[in-house]
Amino acid sequence: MIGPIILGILISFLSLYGIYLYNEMIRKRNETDKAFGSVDVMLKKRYDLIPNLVETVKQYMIHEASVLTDVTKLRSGFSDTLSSEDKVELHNDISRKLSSVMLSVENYPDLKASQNFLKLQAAWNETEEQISASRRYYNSAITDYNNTIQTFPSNLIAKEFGFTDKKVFETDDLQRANISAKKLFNQ
Amino acid sequence: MKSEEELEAFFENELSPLIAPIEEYRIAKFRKLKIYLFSALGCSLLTVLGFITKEPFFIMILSIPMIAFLGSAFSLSNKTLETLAIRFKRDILPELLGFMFDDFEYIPRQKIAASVIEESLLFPFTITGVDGEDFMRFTIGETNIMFCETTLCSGNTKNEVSYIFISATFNKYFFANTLLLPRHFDSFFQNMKRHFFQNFNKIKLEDSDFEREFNVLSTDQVEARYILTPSLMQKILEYKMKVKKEIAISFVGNRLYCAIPEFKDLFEPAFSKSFDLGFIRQNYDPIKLYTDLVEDLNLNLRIWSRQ
Repeated sequence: MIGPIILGILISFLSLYGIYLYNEMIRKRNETDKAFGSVDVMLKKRYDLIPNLVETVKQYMIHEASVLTDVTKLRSGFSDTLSSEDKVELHNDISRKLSSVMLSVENYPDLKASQNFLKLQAAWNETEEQISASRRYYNSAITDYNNTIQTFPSNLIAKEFGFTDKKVFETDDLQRANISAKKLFNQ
Repeated sequence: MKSEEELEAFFENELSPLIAPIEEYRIAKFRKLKIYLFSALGCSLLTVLGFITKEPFFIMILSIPMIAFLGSAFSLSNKTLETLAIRFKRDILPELLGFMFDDFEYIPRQKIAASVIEESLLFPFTITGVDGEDFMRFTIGETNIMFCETTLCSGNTKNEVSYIFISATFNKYFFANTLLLPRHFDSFFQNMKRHFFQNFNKIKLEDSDFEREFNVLSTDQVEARYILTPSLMQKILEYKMKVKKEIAISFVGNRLYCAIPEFKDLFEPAFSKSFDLGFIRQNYDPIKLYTDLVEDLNLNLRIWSRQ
């Protein structure tokens, strides 16, 4: 008599634990989506800054005119319908171009003294920090999610219900170039 | 910040003339105190005689001189300490603050308002009373910083905790509330209260040293990281090591609040200690330590939209 009762309790416990793990994975996956949402908002904020920035610097930076045209073209390619990977890719392309523009600021003393440029520079720095903050949040959420679906016993449920690994927002050379631009601002 | 040589020169040239009359007063009173105490000691022999007679009447009569001298010594000590504190805080401390900072305000009897302490969200308990003194406010570069000795009462007056409470303008704009609390600062129920009633969530940060030292809570995951950049986390850790105490920090309403436990009553002269350079340094060091927060956390760096 005691045997079936214990078995029943054990099965109930395992079922409840399985439900808990499944819900936990769903919650963490949603958290990663929410985190990417915040990265997206910050990226949009940066895209909104670009026209002003280009407009301000192009009066002074004659030699970088073609790069600025490229930046404007790339920016016009942004759309809400793009996938998250494409958005990140576009962001990286624009960052690469703008980094080279920002590195050239040193050669234009008049530009460095412009009040409008100084304001944009502060706004740019702030956006950089916000992108960095949201990226850190995104990576933290991804790490948490990946840890959950890769560790035992939740990996068994993850495999069964098709939970797959997600990639962290890596700091590659492009991002490092961004940071260099920021450092340049501080000089 | 001023160098050691500058402090010594300032003490010699500026403070010494101001200190001289106070020191003279202290020495005179200290001499008087010693006379009272020696007299009380002498009169204790009379009390012993009274005990030898075993007559309560004689014991009482012969104890009166000793009690009178002890009472006078006690009264003199209290009155002198009070006068010394008033004169030190009126004549010496403002000069020292003027030497350290161009823009400052010092109000010896003022305490930080309970509403400001509640606004900081640092303390999870209901504050029933706030006591304090030595309110100081400084402008260092573009940062406004103030601090005050503060004693908080919770529940009943028996539960008292003393802090140096610091408030400074922060160099970034933010809307969320973020707390950096020492481990075990909150009880389990206080943690629950913060989560369910104040909407605070745990923030997992990349810096493991920082994670070990602080329990980070915030109402916004992104803003917490916007405030706590890797470099700021490092600076906060370094500041904590410098202070050598369990500090609690909050970022609320574009201000940084910091509570540092302090059990010593700062900025108070002692009857038996002379007003020498060592005593001045005892007062100089905590002021420097608490205002160093601005330099150490780089609060004057304003490269963001906040100008």
